[in-house]
Amino acid sequence: MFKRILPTAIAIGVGILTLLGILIPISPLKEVSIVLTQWAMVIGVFAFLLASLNLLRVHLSRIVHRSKNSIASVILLLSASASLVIVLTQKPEGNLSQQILTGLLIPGESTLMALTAVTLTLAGMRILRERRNVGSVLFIFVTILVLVGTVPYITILGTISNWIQNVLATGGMRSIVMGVALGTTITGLRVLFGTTRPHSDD
Amino acid sequence: MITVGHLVAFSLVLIGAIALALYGIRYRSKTFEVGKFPVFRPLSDEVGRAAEEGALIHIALGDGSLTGDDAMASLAALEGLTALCDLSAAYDTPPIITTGDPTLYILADDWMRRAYVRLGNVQRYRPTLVQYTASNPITYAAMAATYLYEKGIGSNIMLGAFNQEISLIDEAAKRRGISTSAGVVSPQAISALYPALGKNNLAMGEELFFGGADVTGKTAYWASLSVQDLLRWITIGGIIVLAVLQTLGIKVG
Repeated sequence: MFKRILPTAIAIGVGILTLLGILIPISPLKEVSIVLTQWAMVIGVFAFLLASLNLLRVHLSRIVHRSKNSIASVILLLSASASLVIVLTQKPEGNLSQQILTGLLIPGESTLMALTAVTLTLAGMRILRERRNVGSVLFIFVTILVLVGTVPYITILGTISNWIQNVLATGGMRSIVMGVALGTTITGLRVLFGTTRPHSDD
Repeated sequence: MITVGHLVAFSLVLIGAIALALYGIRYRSKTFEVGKFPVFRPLSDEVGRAAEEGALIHIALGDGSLTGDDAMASLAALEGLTALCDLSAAYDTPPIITTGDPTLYILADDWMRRAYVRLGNVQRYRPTLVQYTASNPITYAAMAATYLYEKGIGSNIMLGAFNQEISLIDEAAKRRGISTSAGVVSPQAISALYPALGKNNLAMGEELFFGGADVTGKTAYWASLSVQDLLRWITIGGIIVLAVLQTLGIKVG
């Protein structure tokens, strides 16, 4: 009862009310839907606490067992603890909190973004080595065409590049997104029907 | 205020719900062949390979929050891993599962634990094998890539909600010679992975939602695939009708 029927009944009831609030946004359905979504956010915060404890447990275990690169775990735990103390005492808008954000986190993330650009280029270059077929050649050709087309003053290539991006690429992206939206809807419906129960024991 | 968009969405959901019930009844006594889809078929084989070679399997589930737009993509990713989780529990060679979202971490942990519960072997379950690594997508990808360098991984599976940062994980796997397969929903992640993995090792977009049906063969999953096809044709029909009406100068909505 408490392991299977109750969680399933709650999930179905809450799911139907939230869905109706979104699809038929009239009072009181809309308000109920908003309240339920806010509750989900609150539960999400508790999930964050649990997940942080998991992170702590994983890295403490690495330190205790002196695993490879356990020094990284020490640095991670120390910096996480220091950030927590600083943000708790100074609030997120505090001077030191802002310095951590703008001086450490944002440059670090920007570096990783730049690294992503390099890995994407490498993956593109590898395609001809790994799969020599018409599709691969076309992929490389279109990529180079679009890249060259972004260079100013090459009007004809720019027009072709824009057309590829605005018509072909956008069309393809929309079809992918539409397919995913249908898959999402049907998976959600399965949860509402109770045939998929991610929230309760089998 | 209720708009035409709301009515269209409501109609699609209603048609989907009715069709799901009808297909469910129709497929009740039917048996379905599993392992037809090239990406999901070899996933459970990886467990045997990992057991033989003593290597670990790394599963990256992305950062699709259960309270956000990507919730169902994350759920579909876990459904695609059902057989792998069950086999891992049976051989007691659990994968390392990393997530970039706390709610997804809790679901993945429960999913893996339940595989052990089904076998009556829950005391063998080690909760530290499901790990929440970072809350930022790019940091999460960098952390997951680091795991591939450190932990003796023999196989890398990436399923769920990712963006272009997934190429960091894939690049790490390539450099270590780790076999990789993936299923992603966003166009950015697809374009990042397609050059490296091709169509045989990559489930693109809605193909991620085939996983549950392909690995379990359950009626409900196959019924949902048929409904997905039906809704797709209805959507295509709607787009064509709208295009014709607009060409004729008739305004809708």
